[in-house]
Amino acid sequence: MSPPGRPFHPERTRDAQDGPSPQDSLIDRKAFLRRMAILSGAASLGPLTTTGPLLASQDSSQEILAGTTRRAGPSARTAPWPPTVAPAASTSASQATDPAELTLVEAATLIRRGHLSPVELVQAYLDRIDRYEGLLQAFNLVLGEEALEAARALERTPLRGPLHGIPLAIKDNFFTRGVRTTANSLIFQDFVPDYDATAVARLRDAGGIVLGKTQMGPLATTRASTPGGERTTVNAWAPFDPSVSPGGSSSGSATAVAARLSSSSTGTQTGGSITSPSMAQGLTGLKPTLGRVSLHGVIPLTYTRDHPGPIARDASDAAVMLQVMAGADPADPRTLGLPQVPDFVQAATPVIRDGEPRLRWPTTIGVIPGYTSPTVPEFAGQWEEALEAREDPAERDRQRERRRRRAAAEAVARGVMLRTMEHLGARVVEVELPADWETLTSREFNNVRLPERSEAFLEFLRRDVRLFGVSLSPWINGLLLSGDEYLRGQRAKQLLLRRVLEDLFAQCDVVVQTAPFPFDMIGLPLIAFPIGTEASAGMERPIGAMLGALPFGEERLLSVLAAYQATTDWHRARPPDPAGEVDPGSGDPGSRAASRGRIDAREVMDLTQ
Amino acid sequence: MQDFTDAELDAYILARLRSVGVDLSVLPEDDPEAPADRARILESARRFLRSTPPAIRAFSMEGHEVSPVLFAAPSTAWRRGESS
Repeated sequence: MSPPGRPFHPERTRDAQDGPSPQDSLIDRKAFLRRMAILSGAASLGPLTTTGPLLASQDSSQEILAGTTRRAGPSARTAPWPPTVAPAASTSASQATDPAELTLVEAATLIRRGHLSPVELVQAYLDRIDRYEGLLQAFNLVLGEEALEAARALERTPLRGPLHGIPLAIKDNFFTRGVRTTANSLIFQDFVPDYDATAVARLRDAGGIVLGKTQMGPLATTRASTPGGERTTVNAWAPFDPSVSPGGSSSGSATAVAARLSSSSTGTQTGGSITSPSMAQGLTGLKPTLGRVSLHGVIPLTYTRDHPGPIARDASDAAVMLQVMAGADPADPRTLGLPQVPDFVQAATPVIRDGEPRLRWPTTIGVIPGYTSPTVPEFAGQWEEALEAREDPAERDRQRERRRRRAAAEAVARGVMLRTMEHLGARVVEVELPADWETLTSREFNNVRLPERSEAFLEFLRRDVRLFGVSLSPWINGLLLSGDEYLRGQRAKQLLLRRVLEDLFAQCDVVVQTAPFPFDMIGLPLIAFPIGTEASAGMERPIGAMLGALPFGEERLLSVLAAYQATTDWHRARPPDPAGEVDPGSGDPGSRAASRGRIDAREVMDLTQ
Repeated sequence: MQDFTDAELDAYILARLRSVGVDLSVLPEDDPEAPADRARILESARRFLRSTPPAIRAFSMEGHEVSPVLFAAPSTAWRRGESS
C-alpha cells in the first residue's frame, strides 16, 4: 500500500477503461449535498420538495440479464449441478446437486433455458425450510402454498422478467399485499397491508416469488428478536450457538440466504442493517445511495436514513436484485430527479483482459488509518464498555480472547484483500480522514437520527410504551434531544458529507470502511462482502469487508466486487447444513425462541440501528 | 448534564416525557425479566443526556455551515431563471 496520494503500483493506473464512465464520475457532488440538506429539512417539514436532476439522463435500457455470463471457475465447496456441466456450463459457475445451492443468476439462467422449473426451485427451498427453519428461525412467516401457486402460474406464462420463478425472502417491514407485515413489533402485530411496497411490487413484476417474510429486530432495531427481546434467528454459520450474532436488524434475511432457504432477500439499513448481517454471514449486501430504491411501503425508522437494498450471495445476484428494485417512484420523492438507473448487471460482470480478471474502470481504493491493524480503534472502546457490563469474569476473558483472535484474523484477511485488489489493477492508497472525523462519526452524532423516529411514533409512545418492547430506549432518548441540538447535529451531518465528498473522495474512488456509519448517516452507497473465514471454537465464521463510494457509486462498487469475486471464492463458501438432530419446528417463533436467551439492555443500546 | 445527579436527571426526564404525554409508569420498576423497566429506561436516558447533547453542543460550527447558506434565496433563484 502506498502513502497518501501515491500509487503503490503506478503502472496499474493506466489500465484501459471498459465501457462508458460509471455514474459516480458524472455526478454533481454539490447538487447531491444540496439535496441531502433539503432532505434533512424535509424531515421536519413533512411533504418533500426535491431538487433538480443530479445528472443528465442516460440510456441504459438494456435487458437486465444480458451479459451476465460469468467466468466458469472451480468450486471446491459444491458438487456439480448436472444441467450446467453440458454446453450451458458457461452460464454457471456454481456446481450444485441441489437447485437451492444455485445463485440467483444461475437459477434464473437455467429457468430461462428450460433446465429448471420454478416449481422445482420453490420446492427445493421449501424442503430446506422444512428441515432447517425450526433451528434457524429465519422467517416470521413462510408462504409455502402461495409460493408454489405463484411458481405454477409462472410456468404457464412467458418470461416475466429477470427474476422469473426466483423465490425471495422479504424482510417483514416491507408491505406485502394481503400478508401480515409486523416488523416484529407489537405495534404492527395485526397489520395486513392492502398493497405491496414498491420494491416488492417490482420484484414480483420481474417474476420474483415471495417465499416468506423474514425475522428482524423489532422495528428494525437490534438483531432479530421477539418484541420482548428473546433471540430468534441464529447465524447460519453457528446455528447451535445463539450468542453468535446473525447481524441485525435484517437477521432473518441474511440467515435465509446464507442457509439456502431463499435465493436472495431484501433488507433495510438505517444503521448497518444490510451490511452487518451480510458481513456476519458471508454474503454480499448492498446499501444503495439514499433514494435509489423507493421506501414507499416500508415501515419507517428514520426517514433521512432508511435504505432498502438486497442481501445476496454475490455481486451478480446483488446487481440483478438492485436493478429490479431501483428506480423513480412518485410515491417516494426521495427517488425523483435522480440519475437514471444504470446497468448494474453489466457493472457486476467481470472483465477479462489478457486472460485475467481486471477492474472494469480505473479505480483507486482508499484505506483508512489502522485498517490492517488487529484493533480498530472506533470499535474497541464501545466493545470494551459492553464487555465490562458482563458479570462473569471467565466469560469476559473468553470473549476478549475470542475478539483478539478475530481481530488478528480480520487484519490478515484485509491485507490479503487489498493485495488482491492491487493485483486486479486497483490503485490502493492510504487516505487521510477529513477533519473532525472521529467526532462527526461518533455514536453521539449518530444519535441525531433518534428524534425522527420518536416524532413519527409519538402516537404509539403516548398510547403505551410497552408496545415498543425491548427496543423502547432509543425512542425515549429521541424525545430528549432539544431542537437546537437536533439542528446543530443535522448541520454537522451536512458538514461531514461535504468533507467526505470534497476531502475523502479527492483521494480515492472507493474507500474501505469498518463500520456502517458514517456512510448510512450521509446516504452514500456501501457494499459488504466476504474476504475470508476464521476458525473459532470449532466453528468457521466469515470475515467481511465494506467499501463505500460516491453518490450513485453502486456501479463502481459492483464492478470492483465483480473482479474480486472472479478471482477469489470466499463468496462461494456456504455454512454446512446443521448436523445431528434438528427440531423440525413449526409454530410461533416466540415460543421457539424461549431457550435462546434474551438481548440484554446494554446489547439493545449497542445494536440499535 | 454531566454535573447533574441521577435524581435530578430522572426528574428532568420524567417531566419532559410527561409534557409530551408519554407515561413510563406502566413499566415495572425494576424487573430484569421484563422487556423494559423504568430503571433500565432511565439509566439509558441518563447516559444519553450525559453524552449526546454535550458532545453536539461542544462541537463548534464556527466557520462552517453556521447558517443555512446552502439554501438559495428566492431572488437568487429568480435571477438564474430557475423554475420553482
